[in-house]
This record gives sequence, C-alpha cells and structure tokens, in this order.
Amino acid sequence: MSAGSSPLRRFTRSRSAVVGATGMLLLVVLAVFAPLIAPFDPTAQDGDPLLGPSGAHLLGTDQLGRDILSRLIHGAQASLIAASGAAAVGAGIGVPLGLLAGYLGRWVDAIAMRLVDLLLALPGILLALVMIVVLGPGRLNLVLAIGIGAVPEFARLTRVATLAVRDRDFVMAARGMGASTPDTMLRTVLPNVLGPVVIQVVVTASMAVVVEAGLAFLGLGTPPPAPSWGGMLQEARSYLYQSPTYGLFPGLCLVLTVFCLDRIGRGLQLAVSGGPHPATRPSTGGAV
Amino acid sequence: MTMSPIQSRLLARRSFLRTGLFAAGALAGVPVLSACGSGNASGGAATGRITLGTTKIMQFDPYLTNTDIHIHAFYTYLLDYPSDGTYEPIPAAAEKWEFAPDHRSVTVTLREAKYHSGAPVVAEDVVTGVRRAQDPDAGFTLAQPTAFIASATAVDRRTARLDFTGPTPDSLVLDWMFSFPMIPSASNTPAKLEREPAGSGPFTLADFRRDQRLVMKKNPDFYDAGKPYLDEVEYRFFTDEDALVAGLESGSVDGAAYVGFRHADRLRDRFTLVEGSGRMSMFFMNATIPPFDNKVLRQALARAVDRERILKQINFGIGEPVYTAFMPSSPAFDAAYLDSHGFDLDAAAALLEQSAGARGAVASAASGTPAVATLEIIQADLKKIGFELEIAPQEEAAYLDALFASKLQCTVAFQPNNMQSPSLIARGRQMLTTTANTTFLDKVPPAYVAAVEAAGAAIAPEDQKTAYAALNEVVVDESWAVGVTTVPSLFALDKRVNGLVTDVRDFVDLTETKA
Repeated sequence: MSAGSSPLRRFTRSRSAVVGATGMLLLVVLAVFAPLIAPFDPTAQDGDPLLGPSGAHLLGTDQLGRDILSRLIHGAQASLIAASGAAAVGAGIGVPLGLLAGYLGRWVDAIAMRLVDLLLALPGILLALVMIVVLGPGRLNLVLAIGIGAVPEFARLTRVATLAVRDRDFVMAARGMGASTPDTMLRTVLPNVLGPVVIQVVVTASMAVVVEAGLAFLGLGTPPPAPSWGGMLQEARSYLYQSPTYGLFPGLCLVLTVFCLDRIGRGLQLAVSGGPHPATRPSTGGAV
Repeated sequence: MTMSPIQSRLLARRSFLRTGLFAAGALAGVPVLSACGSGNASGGAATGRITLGTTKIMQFDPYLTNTDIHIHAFYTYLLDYPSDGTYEPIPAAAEKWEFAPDHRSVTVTLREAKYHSGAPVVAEDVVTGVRRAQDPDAGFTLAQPTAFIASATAVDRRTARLDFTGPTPDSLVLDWMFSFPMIPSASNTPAKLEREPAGSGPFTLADFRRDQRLVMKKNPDFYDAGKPYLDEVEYRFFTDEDALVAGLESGSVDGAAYVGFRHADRLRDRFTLVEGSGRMSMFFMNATIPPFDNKVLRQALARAVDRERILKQINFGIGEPVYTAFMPSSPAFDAAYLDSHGFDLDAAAALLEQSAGARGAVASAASGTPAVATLEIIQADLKKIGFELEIAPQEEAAYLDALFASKLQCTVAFQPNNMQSPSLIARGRQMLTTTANTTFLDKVPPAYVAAVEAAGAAIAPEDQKTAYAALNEVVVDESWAVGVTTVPSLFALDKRVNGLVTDVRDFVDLTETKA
C-alpha cells in the first residue's frame, strides 16, 4: 500500500480539513482550560453594563456587566459538551439498533425501523424542545434531547452498512467457524461499518452545536448564569441598539465551530472512502 | 408631414401603448400614493384613523383582565379617574352616586345611555354584574374587589343600590365603581363575551380576526357627545416585539403598544413615548416549600434585592423601586421601608445566618423574559452571601401552570396596581389573596388576613393610617412578596398622535386621542 493511500495521509492532504481540525483543537483547548485562559469569572457582574470592546474588556461586557470574552470561552464548554454528548447518545443508541436490525433482519428489523420512522416523523428541534419542556432545562437533559433526535440517522446508516456486509465472505467465514451471532456482529460486522458512522458522528456534533444554540436562543438551553453561545445570542438580540458588537461574537463562534466540524467531516469522508484526493477531480464548486 | 398607413398604425399603436401605460401607471399610482399618504392620513385629522400595533392576545371579557389595551374602548365603567394618576372621580356610566351616612351602602344613578346594541343601560345590569362578580368561578379579577358588597338592588330603571357587608371606606367603593364595567344582563357571561364585546364604550367592534387585526369604529351614541375624536382605530397584531417596533419604524403602524424598555432610547427622538401606570415586579417566595417555609430566611433574601441596579440594568432607568405590592401612588406606600428594608447584603447575610435554613433554592421564570435577568442579578448577590439560587427558565405555559399550582419555590412575577385601596393588594394574582393563595395554600398568615380586612374597613383617616401601617408591617415581616420595581407600560406613538393615555389600572383610554 502506498503512503498516499493511508487514511491519515488522505485526511491531511485536504487543506480545509486540516484547518477545521486545527480550529477544533484550539476550541477544545479553550474549553478545557477555560478557567485558566478566561480573563474574568464568566458569571461575575463586576463591570459596567453593555460596554464596547476596550482594553479592560477585549470584547466588551453584557447587560449585567459580565465580560463577553470570558463568557465566550466558557460558552465553548456548553457547545462542545452538547456536540460530543449528543453524538455519543445518538451513536450509542442508533448504532446497536441499526446493527441488530441489519444483521438479524425480519421482525427485529421491522420493529427497529418502525421505531426509527416514528422518531423521524418528528422534526429534531421540535423533539428536543418537547423533551426539554418535559424533562426541564439542564446540560444532561439538553444532551439527551439532542442525542435522541440523532438516533434515526445512526440507526439507518448502520443498518444499511450492515446489510451490505452481512452476506460477505468474511462474515460467512466467521459464522462457518462457529462464531456466535453476538460475536459476529461485534467483532466482524461492527468494525466494517464504522467508517460512515464516524463521519456521522462529526455531522451530528455539528448539528448538535446548532440545535443547542437554537434551544438556548429560545431560553431552554443551559440555565443561567452559565454561559452558552445561543443564550448569549438571545440576550444580545435585545441590546442590538445599545451594543451592536455584543451579538457578533457568539454568532461568529457558532459559525466557526460548525465550519470546523463540517471540514473535519469532509476530510474524514475522503479518508474513509479511500478515493483520490478531490483536488484531482473536476471541481464541483465546493471547498475541500 | 404625411404618414404612411404603416407609420400611422405604429404611431396609433404607440399612442395607445403610451396612453395605456400612463393610465396603468396612474391606476397603480393612486393606491401607492394613497398608501404613502395613509401613513400621514392614517395619523392625520382628515380621516381620524390610527393603527396601533400590539403583541398581546385579545379577548373581550372585562372581568378576565386587570390590564388591557382595548377593553376600555368597548366598555363604560361606573366612573373614571383622571389619567394623571390621581383619584378624583369623574362620572361616567354613573351620573351621580350618594353614600349612606353610615357607609353601609351607596346609591348609584346611571346616566341615560345606550349599549352598542341599542339597548338602554339600566340598573338591572348593575345587579347582574354584581352577581357575576360575586361568583368565584365567574368573577375573576372582580371577585375579590366585590367582596365588600352584600347585595345589589335595582331601585328603579336608572338607580341601583349597593348594600355592603359592613361600613366600607368611600375610596374602596370608588375603586370598585372605577373597575365595574356596564354590560347588558343578557350578555354578561364569560361564554358570550369571549368573542364579542357588549359594552357602551366610545368604540364599537367593526372587525376582529384573531391574531391578525381588530378594527373599532367610533360609537355615535357614546354618552360624552363629540367623543371619541377618532373615527376608527385598528389594532394590528405582531408575533413579537421586535417585529412590532420594526413595523412602527417603517411607518406601517402609527403606534406600538407595550414595547420593551430596551427600545426606549432608540425610539425617543423620533416618536412620542407614553408611560402608562403599569404594574409592579415582585419577587415571590413560596412559603409552603422549604427553604422558604422559614420566615427569617425569606426576610434575608428580601434584603438581597438590589432594586436600583435592576432599575438601571433591566428597566433602563424606567420605573421606581417598591418594597412590596404598593405603587408609590398608593396611600399605603411608605418610602421609609425602602431604607429600613432595602438592599443590604450585610443585613441579608446576618439574617441568613440567623435563619439556619438551607443555602439553596430554585427560582423559575418564563424563558426569554426580563424576569430571568432580574433573577440573575438577585442570584449574583445571593451568591456573595453564600446562598445558591439556581435559575430554571421554563416555557411560558409550563411556567404559569406550575406557578398557579403552587409548585414553584420562588419567582419574579407581576402584581397590578391597588389604586387608592391598599386592601386590594389581595386582588389579582393568586400569590397575595387572603384565602388559599399559591404561596401559603390554606395557611395564609392570620395577621395578613386581619390586616387586609382592617385596611378594607378603616374609614376615618387616622384609622386608615393605622390600618395601612399594620398592613405594611405584616407584608414586610412575612416577606413572601418582595417588591422590586414598578414596571410602567410603554407606548411609542407617531408624533402626530396625541391624547393616548392609560388609567390607573393601565387600561388604554382612546377617548381623547387625536391624530
């Protein structure tokens, strides 16, 4: 196998994927080390309200005199927890469901897919909204609400991938050598369907960032005073006249995060698919 | 110059097209120009028509609401108060009234007037109205204020007599008369008033499309000849406040009702801002749920409400501080309490220590409302003295359900004006009623019940002063309803519109509005 065909190599040859990964790494560092990096306590109402960017407060202060930069840095935690948590919940439920449905087929498949259809019938944001109203606000409930909405995609994707490999020779061989059904599913089939699932994890994480911000924008995200980008956007909306830059920064953070995740997803797609570098293909107009 | 037939036909065709285009342009231009003009004309004296934008849901039953934008336009009340916030009664549906020397009854003489339906206003309608107000299931906001009335009798076609349960101060009776709408007996049920008003007010209903528009036309039979000045008023519904303000700025409405304080600075230069009497913002603690079953702990938290900061940062400087549910215009308002029981974190910390209560609670509020930001300020101050207040914003319907089911530990909510009768503190929201309220359930402090009764029975000025002082003492001591600020209603009007006022209940009065 040539060096150029290794997945990591294919990923790193996509400049935008590298940019996305670097941006995401930076974001993770910011979120993890937020207490050390943020110049102020994000909940401290010490400054004058609605100050513009200045030397004392680089991005200004919000309506309660809190430092916007510090809240943005700490807000990254909320977004990343929602992103990773929702992807984990979605994959944690969806992948086994899809695997069972695809491998066992028949009535298991029928029941699993009807459940998935039921979930698909509800718009994701509406499902999350109802769950938050019922369960109450909170970080864990937020992750559950977004994650459960992502289960159908994982389940369907895993099912389709499982259907494609379950009758392949290596699976038949494993069965022929006496491997039990759970053993075949977990050790033989699952590793061979993980490629698209990994990409879906990134897509779900990206979607979760936006949904978390949407719920926070509706006032149903992380309870105050904990900062979240969506919550900051919602608050900033009320003070556009008094502080026009207030809403700009959380909005930019959201855009950049989703951009980074999107680029990582694209890079993973190239890495997993094993195809030639897209730069060598005719341009389709999309950045890679 | 001669023309060939072809040229002639071309010219004729050109002329035809030109003429057609001109005519089409003129036809198209007329509505466009008139639309441009309607921005002026809609607010101009020529048509006497204005369009007001609102985000509030409307209904037509005056018993159901403590404050509303359109109710006063449809109904005449027994008397009016001046819009300057004073309480000099002005005859309205009642031409005159006479109190019995023993303060046990009042005889009301109605003026000759007609309802919008054409039926005459008669004393029997007062009797029916009082009966409905006395019914706890149908009286709604008029139920508690009517408690002092034992019976109502129609003496003759235009005279009604109200007998009281005991000697009652004139001020309380006047406040009741000010709040009592005249409605034909046959229409005075919640079901009949749900979709259509049935009053004798300055405007009649012309068109109502829920969540779209409400159009009112001048009532030609209104008792006050020559009024209202406007021929027509349209209320246009907007889904949210930002859309409403954008509608005002773009000129699609002549005024915006109940706009948020945050818009005041932006609108002040280009529009006339009118402040209505509004309501009061209160911090309520549920005495039936720990840790707020601890009175000293409630007193501690009451000292941690930074009213000045809330006024500055949440209200943008609009409104005044209050220590409990009395407006500064109330005869019971005692400004000394703002000092003796005002914001003092050291005092709060000492009381918290003394209370030996739990150091945490959950506060709820409807998400996206200024109440959340108010709670955030209280939360930050409480944190400084070691009390963790968790804020749990909820969707509005879920929040209201929990509030009225007494399931919330604490919250920030509104309380209506009590006018000149401090005993009316027990009206309106269910957190301050004297029977089975949502903050004490059936364990309403007897001292509070007695103080409200005494305030509603004190007639002599000295007795009133004593009763109001006792009422203040008990509500401050029990500290379950802590006043934060007044929250005036805010209207932004095109500069051509004037005369829009609100009364002391915060009802919009368009009778003398001109445009």
